[in-house]
Amino acid sequence: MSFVSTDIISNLGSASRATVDAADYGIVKVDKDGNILLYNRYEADLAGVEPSFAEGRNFFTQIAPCSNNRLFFGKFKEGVAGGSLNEEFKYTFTYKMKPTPVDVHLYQDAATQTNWIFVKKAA
Amino acid sequence: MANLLENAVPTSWARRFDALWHELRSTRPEALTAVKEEVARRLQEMNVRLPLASVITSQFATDQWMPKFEQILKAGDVNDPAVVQELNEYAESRLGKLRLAAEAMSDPDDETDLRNCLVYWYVEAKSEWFQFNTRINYNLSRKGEFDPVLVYKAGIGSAILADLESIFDDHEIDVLAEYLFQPLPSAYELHAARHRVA
Repeated sequence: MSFVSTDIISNLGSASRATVDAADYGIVKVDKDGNILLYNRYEADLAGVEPSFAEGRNFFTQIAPCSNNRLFFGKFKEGVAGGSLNEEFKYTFTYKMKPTPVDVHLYQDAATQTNWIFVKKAA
Repeated sequence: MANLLENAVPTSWARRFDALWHELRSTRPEALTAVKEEVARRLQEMNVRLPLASVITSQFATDQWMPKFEQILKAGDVNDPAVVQELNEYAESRLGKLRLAAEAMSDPDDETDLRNCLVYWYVEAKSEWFQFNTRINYNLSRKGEFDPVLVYKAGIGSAILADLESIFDDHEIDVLAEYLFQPLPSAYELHAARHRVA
């Protein structure tokens, strides 16, 4: 069961910056190539990267290069190509931060055709 | 110290600074941070750039880094003495390579070669980090295993990498990141581009 609230999932197209910044998990909106369109406060605090720096950069090559493998980026690419991205898995981030186990949910919203990366520190 | 700074001549100043720095480290270690900040402020006012070798030697000194490593390990609750020792040795080996390069190429005229060595170090260290990171997450995914030595080596390596990035400009970091994201395809592209031009 994903940690992402149904509220957020149902309103991805219209969620305001304030709403996403209030979430207690990371919310990153990316285009099909992984370029960051929105990067919320939780994710900024987790990664130590300000939204103003992250937005416009590529999640997989520049902001979170630790996701550059089949387990993470590979799943994203396959899901986007197949038009049915919805993957949940455990991961460990180690890039420029203390090693942090997280839960990840990759999701493509069919209604708005947008791609999302949700991240939450593992319990 | 004030007189030393005010009468500074850039090339000889760096050597005098190094001697003073070593003396302070052994006699008044508690004064190091304040001295470093004062030096940085005075340098900015005088528009003097420290030789790269001096920057590397002081930025990657063991006493600068040990408190940071202790913080990383403390945050992760790593207190097995054998693990802590292995991680300290790993950290010191990484830092040592940087300092040895700076020591070998300490003359301002050596800076081009020193910068090249730093690029090689960066590529080596980031490549190793990519390998660690991939192994960590495959172990987690396939076996549910979490290897603290591997995980904390990745964390320490990445912290040193982040600090070294201050030596390069943003574009250089982006170019290296792009190359390292897919090194073989990037190398093929470069090879093809060079042969087309030729």
